[in-house]
Amino acid sequence: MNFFVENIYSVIFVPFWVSLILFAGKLFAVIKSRKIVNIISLLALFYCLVLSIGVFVKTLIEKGFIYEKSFPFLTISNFNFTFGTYIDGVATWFLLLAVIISLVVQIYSCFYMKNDKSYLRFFALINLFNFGMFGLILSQSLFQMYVFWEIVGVASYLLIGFWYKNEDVSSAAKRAFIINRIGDFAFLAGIILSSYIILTNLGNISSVALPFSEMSYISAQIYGCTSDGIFILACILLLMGSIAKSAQFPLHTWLIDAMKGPTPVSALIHSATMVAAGVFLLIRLYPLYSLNNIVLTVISVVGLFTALICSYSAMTQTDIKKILAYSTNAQLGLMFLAVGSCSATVGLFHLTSHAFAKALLFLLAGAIISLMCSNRDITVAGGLRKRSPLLAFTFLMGILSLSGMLFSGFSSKEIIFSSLIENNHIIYAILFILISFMTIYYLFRMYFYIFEGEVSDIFKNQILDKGLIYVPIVLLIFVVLLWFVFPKSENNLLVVINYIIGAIAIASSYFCYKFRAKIKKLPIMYQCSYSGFCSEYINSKVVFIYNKIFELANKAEQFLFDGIVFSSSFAIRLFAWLFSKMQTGNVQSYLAYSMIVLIMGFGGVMFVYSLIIYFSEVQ
Amino acid sequence: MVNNLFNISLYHYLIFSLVLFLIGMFGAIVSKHVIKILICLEFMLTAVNVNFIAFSAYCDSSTLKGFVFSLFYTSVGAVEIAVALVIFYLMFREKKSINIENYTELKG
Repeated sequence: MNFFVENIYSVIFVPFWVSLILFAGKLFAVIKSRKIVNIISLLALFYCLVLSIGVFVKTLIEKGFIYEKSFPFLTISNFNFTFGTYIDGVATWFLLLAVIISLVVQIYSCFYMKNDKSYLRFFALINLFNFGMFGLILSQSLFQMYVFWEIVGVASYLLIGFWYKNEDVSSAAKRAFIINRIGDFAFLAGIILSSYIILTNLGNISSVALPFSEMSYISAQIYGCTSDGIFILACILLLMGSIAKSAQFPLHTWLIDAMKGPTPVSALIHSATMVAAGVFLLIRLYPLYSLNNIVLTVISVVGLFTALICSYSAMTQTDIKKILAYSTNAQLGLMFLAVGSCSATVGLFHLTSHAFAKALLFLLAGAIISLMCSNRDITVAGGLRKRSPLLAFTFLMGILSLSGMLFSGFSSKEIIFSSLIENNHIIYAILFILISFMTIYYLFRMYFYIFEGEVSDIFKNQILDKGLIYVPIVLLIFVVLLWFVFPKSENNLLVVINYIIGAIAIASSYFCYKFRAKIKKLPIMYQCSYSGFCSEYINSKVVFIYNKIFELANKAEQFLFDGIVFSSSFAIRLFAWLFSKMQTGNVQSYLAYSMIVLIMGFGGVMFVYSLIIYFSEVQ
Repeated sequence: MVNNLFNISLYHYLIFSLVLFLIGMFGAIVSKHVIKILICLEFMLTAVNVNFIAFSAYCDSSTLKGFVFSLFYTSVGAVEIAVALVIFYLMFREKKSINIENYTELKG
């Protein structure tokens, strides 16, 4: 068991090497066969799986097991900045989750990306993402986490823009990246501010990198040394990192853009693992946030507000991936709510159940999209249940779990709901019921549109790749298994409320589906919902401002840097012109030059020699 | 006074060779005709030879190193002339011109 724990750092580097090998293979056109790519990539992930299971078992056996290992990275006089791994219960749990989902998604991608030309690049990028993600989870200090945070962001950008030849896709990737950068910048500022506080007030040089092993001590010090205003500022800045990565309210618009990428990428990065990294950071920094009630309230309100507007937006979407993306936004908001108003553990439960269920739904959505020839509109689909009952059944199970009616989703939702009531957050609880109503409504609306009714023409002549259905079922197993792992709620009243709400939501959803031709769209409310509260507009404005800044910087560069370079090169070009003009090609002029040089040389030597003689005589 | 006039010293030779060299150099730089340039190069060569002999006679009269060397030098000059004439002949065959200003292929 100790072998696994001591070698857990290799989980970070194996995907990195695989990614490098695949990139090199692409660059030098060495790897010809796609089988080799699959074997390399899956073997590496299988290795990670074995190690992470080993560590997970270790944490199960020993309660409160913590292991830390560090390598020197940067040494400046007496300051040692170390990279390393820090393992506790949360990290191993999340690592196992990420590895399992990544493995399933990669096996799925072997089928899904079968006909894509850039097969190698896809797997190289997925492995690059795995490197960043595993590194982020196992990070020892906040600084190290920031490094991997950025790697994950870059990998996400590259994968959103995977089909970069499409103008629309590449600009969507750019938008998502820019909005992420805003949060990352605030996050970095927060890290620097907290280390500055630690350095000035504590003078303890070992804690400057903010290691997680001393997090509660550091948090207490930061809280004790600063005024409330500065403390809240530091917390909010750190929180902005989570908000941007987890697509919460002010910066939530990028996740819809991220749906332009391949569907396995959406399943892995933009629903299960990377966006959950924001919640992971929230859980990691919970000792810091929990010292101030205002910060916790901000976390809850941001989460709740995001969940409200995104659930509301999801109710009228027609693009299958957009529904799932808005749903991801909303569920991440609920995780924020759980962390902010209950405890970190509750947030982790919901994160886990959501990750498996949403990855499952995304993978099935990928199967549906490939059946519909890359069309994502659910209004043209219909009757798929008759074509493929297995797909319908799996999809329904995923929906039931995600909406909190069955399986692990049911448990985690009950835990959040009961702990909200235990902590006397009655308003939050009421809004939570509203959100769960909307969740069930839009998920079943999607189900009815795709699977019920007449068999649509679009499905008639399509043959489904069996792998696209069988692989996601692995995730369904986990969704069910987790049900038995999670603690059960004792409050039967809440269960009854949950099912009543669910029944009403399903009924109204079916009603709206059945009479969809007759129902009129409410003017303003429909527009708000369909446009996601003008998220596209906000997005484009942010990017517009960014572009303006960029243009300004470009101008400055042209005048300043290019000016310096050109004027310095001007002198050189002048000399070059002169010497080039001297090359007349006429032998006589060369003779003249050589004579001049000879005379000048002799004259110079004689002049110096006479000076030496003169001065030696003077002395 | 009369004695001094005919008493030729080393400096006279040196100044003579310098004048000869400068004439040769001037001619080699200015004249257009290739044969003229060749003749001027010979002037410069002779000036150097005169230097050799003068130094040999005035500074090192016991051995004949300078004289022997000037003999070598004269023979090398003769070979040089032969090669140069062949080159000029080939050049003339190319362009039908003996004007040095037409041969500027190395212009940069």
